[in-house]
Amino acid sequence: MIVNSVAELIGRTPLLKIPVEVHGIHGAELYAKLEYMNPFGSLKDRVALGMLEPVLESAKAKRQTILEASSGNTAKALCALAGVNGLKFKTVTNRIKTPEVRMVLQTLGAEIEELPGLSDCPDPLDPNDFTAVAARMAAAEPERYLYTDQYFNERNLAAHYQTTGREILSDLPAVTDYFCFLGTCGSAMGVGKLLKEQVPFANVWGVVAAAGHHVPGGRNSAELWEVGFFKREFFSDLIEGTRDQAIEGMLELNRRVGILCGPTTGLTYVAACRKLRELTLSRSAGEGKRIAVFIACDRLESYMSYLKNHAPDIFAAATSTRRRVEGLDPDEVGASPQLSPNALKECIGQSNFFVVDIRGNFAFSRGHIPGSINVLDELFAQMIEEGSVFPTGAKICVVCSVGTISRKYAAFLLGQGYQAASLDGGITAWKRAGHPLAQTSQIPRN
Amino acid sequence: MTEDFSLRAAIHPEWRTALEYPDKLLELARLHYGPLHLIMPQLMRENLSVFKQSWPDSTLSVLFAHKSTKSPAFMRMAEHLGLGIDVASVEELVSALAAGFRGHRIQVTGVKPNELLLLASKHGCLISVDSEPELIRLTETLSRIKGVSARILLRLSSPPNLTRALALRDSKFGIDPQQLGAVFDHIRSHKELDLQGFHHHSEEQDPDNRAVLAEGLLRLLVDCYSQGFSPTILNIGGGFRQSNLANPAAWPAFVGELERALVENSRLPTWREHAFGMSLSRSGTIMGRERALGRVSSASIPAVLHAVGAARAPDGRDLRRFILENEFQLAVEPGAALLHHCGVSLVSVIETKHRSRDYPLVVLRANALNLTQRGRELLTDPLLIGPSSAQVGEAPVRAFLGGNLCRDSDVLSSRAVLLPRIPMEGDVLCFCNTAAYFSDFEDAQPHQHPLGKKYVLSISGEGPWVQSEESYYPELERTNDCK
Repeated sequence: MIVNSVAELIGRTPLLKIPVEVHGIHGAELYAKLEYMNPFGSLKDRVALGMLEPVLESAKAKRQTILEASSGNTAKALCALAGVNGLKFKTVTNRIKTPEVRMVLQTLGAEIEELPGLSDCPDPLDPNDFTAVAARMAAAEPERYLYTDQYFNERNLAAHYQTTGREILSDLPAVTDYFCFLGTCGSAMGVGKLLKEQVPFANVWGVVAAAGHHVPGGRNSAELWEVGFFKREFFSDLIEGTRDQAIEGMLELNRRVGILCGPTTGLTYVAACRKLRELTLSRSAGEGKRIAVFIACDRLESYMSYLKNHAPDIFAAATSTRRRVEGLDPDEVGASPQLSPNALKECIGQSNFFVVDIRGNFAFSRGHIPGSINVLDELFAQMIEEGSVFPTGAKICVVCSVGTISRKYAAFLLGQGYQAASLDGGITAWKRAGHPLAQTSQIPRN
Repeated sequence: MTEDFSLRAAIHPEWRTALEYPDKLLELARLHYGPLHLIMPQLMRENLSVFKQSWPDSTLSVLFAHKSTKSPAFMRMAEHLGLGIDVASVEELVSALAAGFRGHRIQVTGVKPNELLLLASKHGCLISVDSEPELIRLTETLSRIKGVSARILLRLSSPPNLTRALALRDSKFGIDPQQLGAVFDHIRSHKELDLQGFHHHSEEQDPDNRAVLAEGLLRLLVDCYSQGFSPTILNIGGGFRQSNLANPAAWPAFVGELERALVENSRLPTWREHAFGMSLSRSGTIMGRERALGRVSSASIPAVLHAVGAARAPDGRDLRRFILENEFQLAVEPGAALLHHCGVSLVSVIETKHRSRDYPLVVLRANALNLTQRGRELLTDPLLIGPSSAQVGEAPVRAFLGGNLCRDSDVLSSRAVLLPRIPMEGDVLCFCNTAAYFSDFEDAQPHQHPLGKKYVLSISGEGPWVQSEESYYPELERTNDCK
């Protein structure tokens, strides 16, 4: 398959049937529209293309920067399409909560302006939200910026009406239920509008996170009033779910169906199953099967940090038997020998005696024990955990700022067979005892 | 709008005990013709421990923000607890000195006329320099008192070269980082100026953004060493807010109700359609929701200090460790956070007006200026204290709280608050958590109404008793709180 432009790969995504053994609802067929198979990884590829297409030539002629208020998939898709067309891309957002997304945008060369979070001194006159900031930016320099304005751009809806919706209907003309997570509401309302026109009895279900729950890329029920496209009466009902349900649903799709989607898809799936179970239980005799579709909107990979925060069990470390500085028994650490500043001073200069200062290099250069060497604690741990790095029979004194962290290292080295101790009270005690400190001639410039 | 909606105040156990003596509180309310503020300075100790537990190293320097209260009782308690103090006027400096603070524990910030620069220099206070012209005025002032040098911080409008772009709001304060070169040159050529560190005060509530700012400030401090300076103080300012709601989720829920009412164009449960800064755009969406939500803080002090401590130091490790190893100091300037739960305000009811078209209006012997923080109102429902002989068993009522000024905008709450029954003459409303700012920052005397008055409240075996704030010295108290 030869393709001339990446834009041609956008759309025409497959519908994957979820096995009934997985969703367990016998009166229903459930399909996932695999939007993550779009080239930039989400359903927003369609929106980005739809918003850009009509204005692309003039933007190229003016060498405009594409501007959007997005912290996620729309920014990713717009940025990639901008790059293909030799244009720059800038996004204005509240703080991006998923670091992976920020890193992808940086990799793609996006300019990112993150606004501060909630302010200490609310000012009712301040048009504060990030869409307002982006709009102002675009209005101030209309020649420089092409503002795509996804929250209000009708082409957001149109893209889904014309492509996603049509695709679903041509594959499943008898669809009865459509489930969609609500973000900008573009996919919900765009696809939903076509469905309602073509299949009068079809239901459009909106899925949102419960108030207080954050599912990246979506809204919670308290935030819907901010969205331009949202109209409550458009939906048969709104279904709320929690963050845990989103993760649970995602894992089921990941592990049992091979759909490598993110948590928003997980919540949509859970909501779809719940509603379908309800509908099939109450159905009357002779009523046909329900044919339902939900959107698998984006990919799993962007959500590793989110999962690490909210479902740390997934990543519970494999048990290791290797001895580590940080894993030492507190009793072992507490029993490690300590040298007083005076005792240490006596030892300096003896053969095969090492003083290792594990503080940062800035503190070291400002003042250290003459003759000591500086190895940052984390690096020192890596070195000594690898094996015996000192000569046989070496005597080692480990030094830190107040003499607590150094004890772990002394204990570890002791276990390796060295005569190791830590400086009691650290550099602070050394100074207090009136002993001299050496300085490096150059303070490091970091 | 659901009728049972309420913003209940969080109440400290000590105040719960005090509230078990309603007759005594009614008697106390009659001690003064205007609003009566009761304070418990000893509760500052608990508030301080939140900071100390969140930053267990000795490198944390806590400076009490004087502007949060005028009470000498709180000043003396802060001094007794070993805190530093941050002052912003000649009068505050004098009050700090009178409370026993020596000059080296006092930091001077804000707008500084020459009188303040002179007095601060003579007392050896740390001066947080706000601008290049101020630095030049300070140098001129020092030239008049030969032999005196000044310890200074440089306050920045923003730390330079942040690792992440933050759209900081415009501030009156601080030196533009572009001018630092000239400022450094000036300090280098004046040996009487001793640069001890950098200062940035942010309104930012997001812990991660606070960390980005602290990181930028630390990088600047470290870079200074290659320029021949050796500063050691990193002052990240105040702005440590706490929610005073019993259930912090009640505020977003209230904001949600307001949004719904705005969108559906139904009546708002607020005085004169106040919407806490939210409005409806032409396309029918809500604007200003984030700011309305921001009226109640969601970030905790431990979260902010942990994020700052985990920020990246120039050697690649965490900021807290870097500060410890280098024997630097992290300075913070909490005001309200140290006075959390330290006071309540009693206001007498004059009458309740019933209005056919709307909620009843409770008329009070106080006005909005008596209980305001920088134009913001207290966001909790007051408690109602009535004579023990009063009727009980009446239904809860929603009501507006009208002040005693001849001005329709003078209400003590923009919301219709929820009260257990209709208040009547002789009842007292108790507003919780008013010690910081609310009880005296904007207190004024329109119509020649009296200012609020403060008393220190203690609870002994016989119940609550009061003493004047002027006579309160923690070291001389009988209670065992003050050892």
